[in-house]
Amino acid sequence: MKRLPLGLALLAFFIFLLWSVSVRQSILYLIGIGMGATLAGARFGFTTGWRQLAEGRDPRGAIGQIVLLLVATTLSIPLLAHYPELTAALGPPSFSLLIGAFVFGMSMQIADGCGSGSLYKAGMGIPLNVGILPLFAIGSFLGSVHLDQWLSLGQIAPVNLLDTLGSAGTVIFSWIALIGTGIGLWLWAKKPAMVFDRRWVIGGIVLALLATLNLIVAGQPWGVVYGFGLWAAKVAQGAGLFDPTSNPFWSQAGNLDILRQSVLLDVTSITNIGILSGALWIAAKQTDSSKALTSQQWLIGLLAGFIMGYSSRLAFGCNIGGMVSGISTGSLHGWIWVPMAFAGTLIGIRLRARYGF
Amino acid sequence: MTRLLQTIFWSALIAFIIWDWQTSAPINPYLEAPAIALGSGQKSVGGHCSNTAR
Repeated sequence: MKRLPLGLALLAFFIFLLWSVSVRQSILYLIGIGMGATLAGARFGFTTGWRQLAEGRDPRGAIGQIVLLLVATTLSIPLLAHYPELTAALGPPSFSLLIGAFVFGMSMQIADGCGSGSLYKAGMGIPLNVGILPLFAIGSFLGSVHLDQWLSLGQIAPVNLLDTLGSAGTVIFSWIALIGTGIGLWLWAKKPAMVFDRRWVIGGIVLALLATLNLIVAGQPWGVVYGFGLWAAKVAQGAGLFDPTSNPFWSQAGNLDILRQSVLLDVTSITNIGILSGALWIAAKQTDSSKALTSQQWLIGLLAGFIMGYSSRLAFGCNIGGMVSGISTGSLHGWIWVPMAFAGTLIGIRLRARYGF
Repeated sequence: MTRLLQTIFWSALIAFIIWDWQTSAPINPYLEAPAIALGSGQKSVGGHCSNTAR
């Protein structure tokens, strides 16, 4: 694929957004393109990083993710403390979160891509992830439909660390926890001299800067899952299969408004489209290197994609909305999300190997 | 295979966006959100995966 016509198409869509939708959405589209190009260009896969850590005691990917969290937290927390119009990614600590994060961590290993990973790989045209994306959207939608039932199992109010520790306290707590984890990984690594990888570290820093820009422009943290659920909800509603007014989640005033308006006005939808576009831009210069899968692998991979979408709603976000945005904006749920998802990943890696992925 | 899937995927996404644009409420430019939320004094009303309610 030629980059010139592709670049012109992306530019035309940017101008359309600027002219017909809003300045904010057009800027967010550009931020999304940057995210997609960084994820795809640096091959910044959260799933791969965790798998390399668990299987080969190779922490380079995990260290890149820690760098991302360190930079994003250091930039975002003071902004949230000084500008009340900015909102944090506050999810409630709950049974729903514990179960959802565990199942998400497990299924993302089988699907070989988390929320952002599935997005950028679909944008690059990797066959399994292209097939997974619509199922991820359906799963995310059904998860949101059932969310109130999962929450009824038990929950406490979201905990904003900014309220309990203050701005400096939240940053210091996060630095201690993240650097402590990094040192632990370094000590545990098979090759301690090789824990920093230029690709992962630069990718982490650029993604942190773009995530902070997303917060500054949108007023809310980077997210992926809500947009997908919204797309499936719109299709279900359009087909006459779903009445949002009868559902506890979608009947809330804010969600009903978002359902009525174009997806191009939705913050997470527009960054998702940007990520797909940025990944497509990177893929234009790459050759097809995807591995052929058996029918059984396709079936299991697609099922994992559906479960991943469903569980990401129960977990109040995927690796982006739950982990990156949760931790970097001071939500306790982000800190609960990580160990639960990592525990699920340890199971997912075994299942992945069993089915020959 | 990859190029064919890319074509199908992007065609479906573009078709969805066009369908959605035509069936959704028209955009009111007088209600446009500030270009940059920071410093605007207006809270975001967008959906996010972490939220249970808005």
